[in-house]
Amino acid sequence: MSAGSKKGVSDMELMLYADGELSTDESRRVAARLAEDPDARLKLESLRQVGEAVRTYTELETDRAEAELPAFADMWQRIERRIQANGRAPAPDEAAPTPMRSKAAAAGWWAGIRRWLEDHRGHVLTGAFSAGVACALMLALGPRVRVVERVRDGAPVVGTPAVLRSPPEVEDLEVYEGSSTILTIEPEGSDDSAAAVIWISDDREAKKESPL
Amino acid sequence: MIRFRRHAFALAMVALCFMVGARAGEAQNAPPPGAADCQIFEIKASNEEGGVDPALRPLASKLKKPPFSSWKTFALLKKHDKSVERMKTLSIGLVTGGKLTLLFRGASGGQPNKSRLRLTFTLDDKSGKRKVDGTINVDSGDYSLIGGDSVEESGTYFMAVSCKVP
Repeated sequence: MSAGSKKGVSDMELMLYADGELSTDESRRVAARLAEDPDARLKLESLRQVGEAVRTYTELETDRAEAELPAFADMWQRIERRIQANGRAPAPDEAAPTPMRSKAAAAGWWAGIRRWLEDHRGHVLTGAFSAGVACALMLALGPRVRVVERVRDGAPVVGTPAVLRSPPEVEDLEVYEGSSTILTIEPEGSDDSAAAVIWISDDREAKKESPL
Repeated sequence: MIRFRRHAFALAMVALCFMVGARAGEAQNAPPPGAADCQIFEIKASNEEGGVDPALRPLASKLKKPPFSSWKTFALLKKHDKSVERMKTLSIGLVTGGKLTLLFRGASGGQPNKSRLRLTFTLDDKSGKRKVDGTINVDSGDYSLIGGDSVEESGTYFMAVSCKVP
């Protein structure tokens, strides 16, 4: 019975019949079969009940959405006006803001952003996904360099870096006795080389005079 | 249809990003130079009279900056010119009795006419005890100034390492 009744009325025909979407001739043929087939009549009744339940649920959800989302109500009212106008351009008074529209407008730019996001959700998600993939690629293919820079009792030398240079970077550093200070000396004047300074201080001699 | 086109455009952008990333990856994975030419200067800084050793002229401007501006005199103790093969450790005996090892891990074309070098170094004292190890990323020709030990009572010892690739 899943594909159709034994007497030639398929489930699809029954659904179309229940929704009034069959042609006149087809409707007559299905009606004739229904008159002879109690099982098909029972199935038709079930289909109508299910359809009614779905429509009721949809209407309730739509009412709720209208109440909670001014943008949705606004959109629905525009659709209704369009249907009533039967395709003609809306009159100036019809285009005037409705109370719901005014409410949405009053919500300001935030309501505008929400409305835009609602209308372009798919594109926003696609864009976010694309950006995520691009970032993942950049992270995966970019240089894996961890910069450690620590300054103690002294200021790092800061200069204007040359446009086409990258400053030296200390990827990792392990000092087994004492502590370290890392500075960067930028290129200056005719000297186009930079320098990384790794200054190691012996903690046992910490009280000795140190430049840092 | 418009929605489909926009999605297709976004997917095309992703594909473009992928191709750009792949190109970047290819550049990074290009065969690195087989060796780097390195200069190692062993330097003593002090406040004695003397000024900057002429042999340290390439470093002169850097020696005027902190922390080196604390000293008036910089003397070259020894200079080493070495070719460091990629992924082969080079060991250098220092005038302090300690030891410096250098490992040229590779170079990438970071910028036009400039290569970015990745170097690992260790520094041991004269008793063989490890003092420091680290890895640095520098442009070809940049310096790494490493040190801070006392030397000869009145001075401070540090070294300058500069490596270049063709």
